[in-house]
Amino acid sequence: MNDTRTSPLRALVTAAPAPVRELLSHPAELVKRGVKGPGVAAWAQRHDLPLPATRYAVLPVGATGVVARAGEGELILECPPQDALWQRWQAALTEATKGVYDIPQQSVTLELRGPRAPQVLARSCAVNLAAEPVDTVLYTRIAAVSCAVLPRGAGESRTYRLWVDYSLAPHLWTTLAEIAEDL
Amino acid sequence: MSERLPPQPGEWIDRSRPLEFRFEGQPLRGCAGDAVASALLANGVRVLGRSFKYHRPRGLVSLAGHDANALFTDGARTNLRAAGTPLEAGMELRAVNTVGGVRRDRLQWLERLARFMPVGFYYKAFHRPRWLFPRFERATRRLAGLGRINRAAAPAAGAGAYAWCDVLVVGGGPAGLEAALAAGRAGARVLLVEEQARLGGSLGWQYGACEAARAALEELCRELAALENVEIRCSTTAGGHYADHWVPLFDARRMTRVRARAVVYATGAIEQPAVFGNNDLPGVLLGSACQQLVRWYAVRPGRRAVVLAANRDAYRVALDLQAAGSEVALIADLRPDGEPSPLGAEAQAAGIPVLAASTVYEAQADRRTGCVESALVARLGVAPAAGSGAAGRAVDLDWRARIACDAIVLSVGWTPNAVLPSQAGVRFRYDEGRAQMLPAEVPDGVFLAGRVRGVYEQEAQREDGRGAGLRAARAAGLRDEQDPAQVPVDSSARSQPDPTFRRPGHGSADQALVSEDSSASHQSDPMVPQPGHAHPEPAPVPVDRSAHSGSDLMVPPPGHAHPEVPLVPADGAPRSHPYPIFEHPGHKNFVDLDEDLHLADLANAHQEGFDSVELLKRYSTVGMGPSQGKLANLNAARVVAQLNGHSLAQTGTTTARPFYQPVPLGHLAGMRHHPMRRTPLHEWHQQAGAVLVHAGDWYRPEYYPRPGADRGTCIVQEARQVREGLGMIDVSTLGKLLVNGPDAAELLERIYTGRFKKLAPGRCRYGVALDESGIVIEDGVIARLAPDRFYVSATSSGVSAFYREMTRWATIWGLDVTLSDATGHYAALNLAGPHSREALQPLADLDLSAEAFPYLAVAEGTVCGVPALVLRVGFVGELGFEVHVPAWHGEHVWRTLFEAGAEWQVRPFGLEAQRLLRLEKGHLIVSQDTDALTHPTEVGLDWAIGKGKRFFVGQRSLPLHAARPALRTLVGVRWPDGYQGPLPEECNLIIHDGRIAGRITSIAPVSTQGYPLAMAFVEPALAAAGMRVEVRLDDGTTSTAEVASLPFYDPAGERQKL
Repeated sequence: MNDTRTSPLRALVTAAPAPVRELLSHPAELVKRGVKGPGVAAWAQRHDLPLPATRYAVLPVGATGVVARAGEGELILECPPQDALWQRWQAALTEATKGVYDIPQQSVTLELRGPRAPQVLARSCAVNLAAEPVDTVLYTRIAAVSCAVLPRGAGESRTYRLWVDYSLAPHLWTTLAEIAEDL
Repeated sequence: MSERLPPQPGEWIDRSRPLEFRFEGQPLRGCAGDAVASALLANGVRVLGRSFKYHRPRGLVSLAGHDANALFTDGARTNLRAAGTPLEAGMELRAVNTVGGVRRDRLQWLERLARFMPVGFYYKAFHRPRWLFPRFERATRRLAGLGRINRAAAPAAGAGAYAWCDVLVVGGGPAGLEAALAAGRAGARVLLVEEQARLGGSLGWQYGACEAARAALEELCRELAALENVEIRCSTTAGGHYADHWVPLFDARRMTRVRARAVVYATGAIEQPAVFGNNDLPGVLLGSACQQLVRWYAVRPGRRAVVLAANRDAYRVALDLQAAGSEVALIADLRPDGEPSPLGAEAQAAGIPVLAASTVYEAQADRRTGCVESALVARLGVAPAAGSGAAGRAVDLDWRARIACDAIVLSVGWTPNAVLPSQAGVRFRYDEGRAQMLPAEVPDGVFLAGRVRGVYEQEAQREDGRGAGLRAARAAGLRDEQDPAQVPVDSSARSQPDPTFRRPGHGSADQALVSEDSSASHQSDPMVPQPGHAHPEPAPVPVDRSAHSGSDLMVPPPGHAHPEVPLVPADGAPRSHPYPIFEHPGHKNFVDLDEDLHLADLANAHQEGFDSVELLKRYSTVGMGPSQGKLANLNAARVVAQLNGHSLAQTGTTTARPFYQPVPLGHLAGMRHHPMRRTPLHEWHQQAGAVLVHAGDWYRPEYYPRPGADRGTCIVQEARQVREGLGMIDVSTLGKLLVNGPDAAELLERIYTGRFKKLAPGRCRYGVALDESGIVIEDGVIARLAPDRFYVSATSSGVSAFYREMTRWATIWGLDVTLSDATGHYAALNLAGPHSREALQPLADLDLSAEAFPYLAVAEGTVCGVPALVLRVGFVGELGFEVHVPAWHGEHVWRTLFEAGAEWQVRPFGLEAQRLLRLEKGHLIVSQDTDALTHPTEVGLDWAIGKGKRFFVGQRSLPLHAARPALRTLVGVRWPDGYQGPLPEECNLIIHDGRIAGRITSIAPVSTQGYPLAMAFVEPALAAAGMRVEVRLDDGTTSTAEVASLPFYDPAGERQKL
């Protein structure tokens, strides 16, 4: 089914100049799946799925994936569809479980990296994202749109993964790219 | 004639980089580093602008950016302040508010009408006849004003920025520099902002003649530059102080919003002018401005000066002037005994004549240039009495002397630059003994240092700054070695390295300051000077420490305001004269140069009853000009106090509000963040040439143009294709909510007016939601997917609010439901038309036959190989299928279906065709055909209310609506077949018997029915089919229409049930 996917950013990414691409990337190969409900934690434990310990905590999975606990009873998995975890997650969802609901997650992922990333974020977000701890998910507004922000890594390898609504992804990309070019 | 001096120690200009520019068409030359004001004065240009009301010639008064009469336009930019604007090559400067240029302003005759323009004249004049007032208002606005906005200029598009720091230090003078250094050494992330182009403040200009002061400044700057946790931004103004130490900073490019843990205000003091006859002439300027001209820009302020003195600073000014080559003709000292400090003797030793107990009574103008030609000096008969105003009447006109000069230099007192501290919550009180405001109460997290709290001597200022910096660092959560138990306030916020931190000079000035590396800050002892730093242990500031422990750096207990004890300078001499106001009857004695207000204006306003400073401000506009009264408010308050017979402490001052300096609107607007949502099919629409419109937050295709067809034709063609063949529309903008859980049906039963508990899985039902007062707030389709799973659609623009409302009610009622807003996660499209089933069936794994999948059925399956939800609904009144698929797959499904539909000449249809089709079916749109007062009965939705339901939101209000006489009814309205005449717009009024009897809510000028049609609210008496109504058109005429039964099309609803 993945060959039927269309990224809203494909044209923008292609047209982006090199300085923007150094700063901003769009890992379109990652897919997401959400699950929500009061029985989610127990469901994850029963199926031996990664479960961040606290609300707004994030667990890295695989090379590029994450599991974010977006609320007390909400998990979001993001990883390449080839990952074994993706398959296990899908399989676990087929089990009818009270209080666990499959929620579509079609948000778009952008990633900022490099020394200019905090400056770009400081031009677009009121939260000091550079000071936020890793392995957390933070809900805020960037360039006037709602985003989930997942800071990852430290020092020069620190990145900021942004999850934004599919319909607003072009706006966010364009705005961040404009800011990057203005630095 | 050039007034540029030989090189001065510490000057800011770069003589090796000359800059050509023009002023009023005249080619001139300045230097890099010049301000516009200094460049003009260096070229001998003294008349810089015209005054606001009388168009009198005006020159430079201060170099602190508070001159409202020295504003320029340069191309697209306007209201550039002479003092604060750096000179740039190629500038084409023109003074604002002139007709014909600053030298020959054709509006200078206005001054001759001064007697007809007393204070507040515009409140009283030209009110009768009434038709005259608008003309008068336009003329007044045209004649009195500032620069004009260049509407053709490109908008500023720079993004604003955010920054965060532990300690924000505002002011880069001696106190501010020391505060930043102390806080920085304590480990705090410090942001130091300075309004001027360079650091130093009074160290550079007031003490610039002193080699030791210059060396101290260099050392301070060097030490600050060595601290990586200190960022310095010059040419940056703090614009205001908001809650939780939120301070907006303005530089040439943008606004930066800073959130600080503590703020040190070392904002200094603003030198105040004296009031006397013609005190506004070009050539009358403040002593501080003179020194800044000399020290920063190497410009001679005048060739022969009279200095009006009331403090020791005036003597330093006189000596500096003399050193710069100016002749000081006289120091007229207001004080009876002159200057007692060694500076007095030094001036006399330098041969400068001093006349104690005297004042400048009048500035006299050169008829040709309009600038100062001489000063009329008079003796003061008695010593001025504090606050009494007696000094103003104490001029002894029996002794007068006219002294030729081209500069009258005022150094009679200061007022704390309290604008920002006041906004931060600092309360100032007037100290009669020192004749100035002093801080009396300071809130937590705010610290004052230096002149702003009455500390004038250089060494005391520096010591004061050190103390404030340390206190601020502690307040920001930094510990010190004597108190190891202290930990940072929020360790989590300091846990990451600082990837953007820039050392001064290593990056652009607008770079964000973000958190630092905690390991570095925690390992080093913040209270121990760093290796290589020669700075001594910060000396405690000389305030009462008896109440504090030895380890406490005078930080008050958390949550308590800390009293600021004003320091008394070592010599204890007041720096301000209590009443430097000397009325010269028959002349204009200006109090507020911004607004052209003079003593007589204030006296007249007072006489009319505006006897408090706040009232006087509103009536006379004193302090309401671009400088916000920084050079006027104190003297205005003195005048009011004197007129009331009160002390200044009793009189008080006006409220300081943002912004500290005028800021460009573009800086406030920043980048255009106007996020528009794009559906997953956006690119397809663009490729298809759709005309896209804003529909709420979304871009939507309005219609798809066809060659040779106008807009209306295209829309009708698209609609006909739906009625007769097959059309496809992108409905991804629909609100989409997932309601899951054991109590999902219960929640929907309570939210909507209809019944949903017994809705069978696999079925849909239309639902209407009300608020508690019975007003229609939302509608949509509720699809039951499983006993505990519902898929709910909502209006595109209302879904977010409706989702919040649902969540609120679910929480209040304690229901076991799991809600999700899935609007952006699904693409949705509607295949509509008689051939829609044929087109969809081959690509779906569902049985879509009429028997298996009847009207209002819903099923989950796959379409084009993608998991999909298919609903059989009929908003446009034809057989139709809504297909909802994950957003990432939306374009694939759309393209595949569109290709499959070619067999039936499928055509995309846009928003306008959809609106037409639903209008023909009489389907209302909530918020277009309803408003904030619409209850269900008015719009014919009684059928959607479950009779006998135990409860739903708004239920209890419906009987109240029913008990009232009906006021309006939503009806259909049509024009004759083939009507081609003028038509109303939506919201045009329906008129009956000369009164408003309704309004159009939706209209289609063309339709598939062959006539224009609309929906409208009308009075119930007009609601019967066949009634004729008059609809007012935009041009004031009316159009006659006829009330029609709804729907206009397929009243039996057979088409959608095929």
